[in-house]
Amino acid sequence: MAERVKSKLQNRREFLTAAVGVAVTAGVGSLAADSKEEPVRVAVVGAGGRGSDLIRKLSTIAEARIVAVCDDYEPHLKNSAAYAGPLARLFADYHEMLDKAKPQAVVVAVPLWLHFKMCTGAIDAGCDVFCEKTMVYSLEEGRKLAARVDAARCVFQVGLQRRANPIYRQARSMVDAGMIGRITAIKSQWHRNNNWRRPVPVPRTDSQWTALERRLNWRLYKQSSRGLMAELGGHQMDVANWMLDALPTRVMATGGIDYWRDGREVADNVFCIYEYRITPAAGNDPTSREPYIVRATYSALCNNAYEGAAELIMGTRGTLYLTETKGLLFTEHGADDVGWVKADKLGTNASIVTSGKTLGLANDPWAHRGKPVEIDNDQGDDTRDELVSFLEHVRSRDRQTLCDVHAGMRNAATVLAAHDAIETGKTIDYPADLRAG
Amino acid sequence: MSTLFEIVVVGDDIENLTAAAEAGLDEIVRIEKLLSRFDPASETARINRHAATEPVLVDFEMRSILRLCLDYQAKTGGHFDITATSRIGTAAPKPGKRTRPPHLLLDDETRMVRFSQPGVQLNFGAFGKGYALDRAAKILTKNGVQQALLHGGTSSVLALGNGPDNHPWRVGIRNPFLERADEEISQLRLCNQALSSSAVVNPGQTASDIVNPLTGAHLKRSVACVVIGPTATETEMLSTAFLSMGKAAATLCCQKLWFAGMRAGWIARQRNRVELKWLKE
Repeated sequence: MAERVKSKLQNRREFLTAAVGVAVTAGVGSLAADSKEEPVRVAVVGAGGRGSDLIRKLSTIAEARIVAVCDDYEPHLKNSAAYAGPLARLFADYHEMLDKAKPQAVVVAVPLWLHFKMCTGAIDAGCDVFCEKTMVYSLEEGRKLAARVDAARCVFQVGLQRRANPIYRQARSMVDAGMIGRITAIKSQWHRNNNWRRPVPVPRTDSQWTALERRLNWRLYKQSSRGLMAELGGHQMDVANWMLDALPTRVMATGGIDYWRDGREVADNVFCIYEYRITPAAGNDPTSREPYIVRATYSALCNNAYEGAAELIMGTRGTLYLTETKGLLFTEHGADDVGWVKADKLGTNASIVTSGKTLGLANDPWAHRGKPVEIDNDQGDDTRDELVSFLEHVRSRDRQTLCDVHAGMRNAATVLAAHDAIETGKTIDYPADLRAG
Repeated sequence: MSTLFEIVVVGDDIENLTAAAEAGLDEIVRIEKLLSRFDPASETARINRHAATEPVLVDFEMRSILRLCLDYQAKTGGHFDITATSRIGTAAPKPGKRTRPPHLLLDDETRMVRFSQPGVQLNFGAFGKGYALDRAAKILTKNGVQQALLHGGTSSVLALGNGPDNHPWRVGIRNPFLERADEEISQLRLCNQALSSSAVVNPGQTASDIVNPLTGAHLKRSVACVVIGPTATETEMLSTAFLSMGKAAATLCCQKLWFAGMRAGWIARQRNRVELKWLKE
């Protein structure tokens, strides 16, 4: 019955309207196949935790067809088959995969030190690339990669999914509209209380243990990882750069292995201060065109989770508290917000004194906060949304993705500057050539 | 689920056991992200938003989950139903039919999901905890953990291997009619088994959350039920369905061998005592 109905109607919407009343037992049929364009042939390299997430999201997007999954760690590859479906071919060898599966786009979700190798491999095979953050392990790799992407004119996106999140987009609009005034400081953190370890599936006595532990816990070792700043800080410093619409000038930072003394090589706690030299654009702030510095602090912990993960964007008129699932706008009780004093009648001084007195008496931090305006994300999942956006860009050959290779490079440089500051104990200047570009 | 999950692991390598337990809890968080109807970023929320107006493409895991739920809906004569709390009038089954057609339409081949009408909503309240426990246990096993006890909100428990004394894990059943949790009415031993319990009305509650999917009415009689079986997913689904169908039908259901390896017990007030009685197998 459903077949007959379907054959009569070209239009999916028409069929649905008919089917609701007509054939409830008929199932939904192959209704996705009405799209004229073929889905994008996507391959995923790296089938660990993040890779599996991306595979699952891709499998819910009609514009994507997962043609292959590649991982040289067999348990992860085997595991991914359940998520990628029977049509995806499994490969242990990357170049064999590129050669045989001939994907249009490659999603790179391998450990950081292999990003460059996988991305350039995909570009050489003529593919578009979605690469997980942080884009590259070193600036040198980043510069080479940007040149390769530009030469090949491929579509390239880095997985900084907050850029697709409606809360952050709304927050940026609020900043643009002047709702929090001039941003004067930013405070972000990602605090957790666990050892950041992946379990190892064989006992310590096994001859494979050491190699396997290093492979699975690649985040903990310098040769493969840039530590907390690259794995966590990159997301949040991207938000800071975005809200300020600027790049940092320099960063000072410190960190160490002070709690989890388990053989790891990367710090288990880091603290950074980034400086941004801001030159107000004409008309932006009529009271001052003088350049000023905004400082942004960042910390990551592995032994206290009280503050969780959030960014606090502090402005002269308000504060934005941002997370992936909820945003809050707190308005400062500033002089000009005392509603019952009319500045034009009593003069501005009257209101400043009044509000200054009341607030000056209150040391309670909550006294300054008031009731926030909530920003909810009722639209969905930012990781899925960033993939949908990437696929749209692939189809339309639009290279201006949510985070193109140059934006990815600027983000990587933000991360690596803090990393270098921690390693050397020195203040590190942000690369001048990237600031200009 | 919005509930407290705990994992107890037994073994020698504390560092790896901790990492394995953390990975297990991460998996539970992932399942929450998949099945929560309150989190707008979840797969379930996406389906609930769109499936009444257009078919929704779901991932392979969600397809398997929905197929399993539909199978159990059929096996329980409609008493297990993830669409039971939808905001729609309950149409009485057509004459001669025991159950109405499902509100959830799933095409296994295309992985497309659609609802029969607006107002239909998926609610994995009688499924999620059990499924999350099974998935977390799988992660533990893969990482070499042989003995563990996992529970979600103390109402669903999964025992992996034996307890630390190398005897099956000991699990107490509390009096479900009291607010205080210290009155034990029975003690069970579990090894590679799951146990789920459901009560019509939880202490302190005045009305039941559980709806009889066939009538749309909230359950009233003050009883509770426990189910023991090989997987927490199955025991979770059945403990709610059995309450909805009542003792006699639940007994029949168990006896018909639809649910191999399952045992179910009924907890009710007998004069002044609260007793657990196993249904005839």
